[in-house]
Amino acid sequence: MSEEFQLKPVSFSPEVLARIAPELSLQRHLSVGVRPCLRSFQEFKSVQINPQLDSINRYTSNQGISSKSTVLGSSNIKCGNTIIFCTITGGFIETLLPNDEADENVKEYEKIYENSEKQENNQQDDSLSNFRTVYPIIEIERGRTGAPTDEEMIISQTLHDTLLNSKILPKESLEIDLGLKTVDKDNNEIIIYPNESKDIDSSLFQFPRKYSFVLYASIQVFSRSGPILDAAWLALMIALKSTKLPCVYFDEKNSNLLNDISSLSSKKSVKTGVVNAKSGSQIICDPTKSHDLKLNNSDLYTTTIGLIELDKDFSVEIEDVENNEDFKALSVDKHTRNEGEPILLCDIEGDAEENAIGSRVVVIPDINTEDDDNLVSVTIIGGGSKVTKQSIQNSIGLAKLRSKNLQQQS
Amino acid sequence: MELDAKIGVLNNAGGSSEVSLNGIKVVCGINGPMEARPRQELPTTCYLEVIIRPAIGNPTVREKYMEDKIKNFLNSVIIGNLYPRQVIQVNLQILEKKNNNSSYTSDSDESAATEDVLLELNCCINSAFLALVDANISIYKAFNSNIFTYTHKGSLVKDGLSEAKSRHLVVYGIKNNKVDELLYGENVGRFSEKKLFMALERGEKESMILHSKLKELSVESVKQKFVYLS
Repeated sequence: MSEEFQLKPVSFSPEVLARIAPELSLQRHLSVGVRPCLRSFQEFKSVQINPQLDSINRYTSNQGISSKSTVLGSSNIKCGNTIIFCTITGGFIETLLPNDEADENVKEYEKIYENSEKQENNQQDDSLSNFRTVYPIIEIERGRTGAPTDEEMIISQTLHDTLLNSKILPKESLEIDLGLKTVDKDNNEIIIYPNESKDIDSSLFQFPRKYSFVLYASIQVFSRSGPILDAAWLALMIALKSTKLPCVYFDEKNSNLLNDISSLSSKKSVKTGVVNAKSGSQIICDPTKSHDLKLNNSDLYTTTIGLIELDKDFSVEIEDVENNEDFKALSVDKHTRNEGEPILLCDIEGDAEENAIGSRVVVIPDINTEDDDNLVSVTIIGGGSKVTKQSIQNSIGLAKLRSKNLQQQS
Repeated sequence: MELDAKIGVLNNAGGSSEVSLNGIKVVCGINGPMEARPRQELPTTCYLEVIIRPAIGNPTVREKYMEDKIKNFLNSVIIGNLYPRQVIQVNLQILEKKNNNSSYTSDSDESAATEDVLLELNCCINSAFLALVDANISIYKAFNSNIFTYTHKGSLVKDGLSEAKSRHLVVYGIKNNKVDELLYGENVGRFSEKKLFMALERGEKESMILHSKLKELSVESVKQKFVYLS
């Protein structure tokens, strides 16, 4: 029984250590001035915005050529090694009117409509109900299918809410000005739109119902390597910028307008507020004509910054770091930081960083405004290292810088 | 609006509370620490499960999103290593939501749902704190949540009005009767850096005021629970 018990040190490869002891792995990296992903502390991932493929879109940039596709806008970006595709599709809905106030009489109905429009105009312009958002579905590919993960749900809701709160998609952009397909004097079929033909009697375009678009975004993420909110938002913004909404017309020939109006007067159809199959089918998207989606501001970008404090207990002793050739270039960041302030890490990436960084700041600055109020959203998640005023200020500064950079690129 | 709170409203939960604030009423029940399912089990710390149920209908992605916000900082407040391989479940049921929106269209409902996220979170967070105290779960620090809005004229007002230029939800952690750190801040709308910090500073002050109120309530509840000790 004289066998001596020895505790042998165990060693792991960096990838394994990052997974089983993320905190230790990250702290060791940071103590020598480098991140596990080998970027420097405040270095963002490179972003590549690929030109969109005209073959995907229904309406291409050079107007006219149409395909059977239902995609109204798309984007394709690469952020570090992560690839993101975003496609925008749409549909339209009947603008709902109050049920109990609608009357059998169509004139009455129109009166109510006018009133409700007036009421809405009286509301303050920047009330949230005057803005719209898109309905995003996000898929992060990880080699299996099934119900969406929590992360996917949370990011899609974040995109939905942020887009609404940032007020960049006004209600008017999605409203449909119905055109009319009819025959001219020589019995040729023509489609006329209210905004392009001033000499035509505007009473032609008085349709009993109003419609507006709803937009859906499908975002696919390949080879995720860290939190993807920033990249997903960027992909959504670029896709929205490229979105073209179809011109929509009412086909006079296939329907009897009078019939349609009289069907409206039946109490039932007004009450239910549902487009019946017959009148729904008469509203057709123009195969060739489209217009750009109007956005209030398309240069909003989210930037997520992780905060972490250096823990001296974990630090690695490397002799003479300052003069070591390998570390010379990397140790610059160490000296620009005040003692006690957390380190800011841009674009969190990899297991170690994702799991060990508790505190984050997510900023959306508005770089186009001259106004003092140039922040759209700031989310501070504490709990990891202490979030100081200085670090919030620095994060906002970094976010502005990053936004300007992305603006130039896109 | 004044905060109205009760502790220990549910008999079968480990701890519970009921809070009404800004027209929203939330009941919070805490179950645990209890045995975890194998999937949830964490070797060194507890698994925190936050479940929010809306006033009307089934939980949707919106509730998941709110759960995530609460879970993010609650994880760092609970002393997890006291409850290894166990689950603590925080159930939040929104009971009432005063709908001050008289509009009828579905789209204004939707913007109201987004607007109300902050109000509901505010109420849920305060309710969760009281329930955690009631459930005797060890926490590093106390916390509470306040909501502020900047009006169009630029003045900073406590509590959320729907007509506002920007809205700020701030959650501060409180340790030894002093504001310790910012746990969570959600700021939306249009605001400047200066306004953001003013709102945060105001949040520090208000959270001390709210803390003394919540403390009174929780002291009372602890006294009643351990009545045999005195």
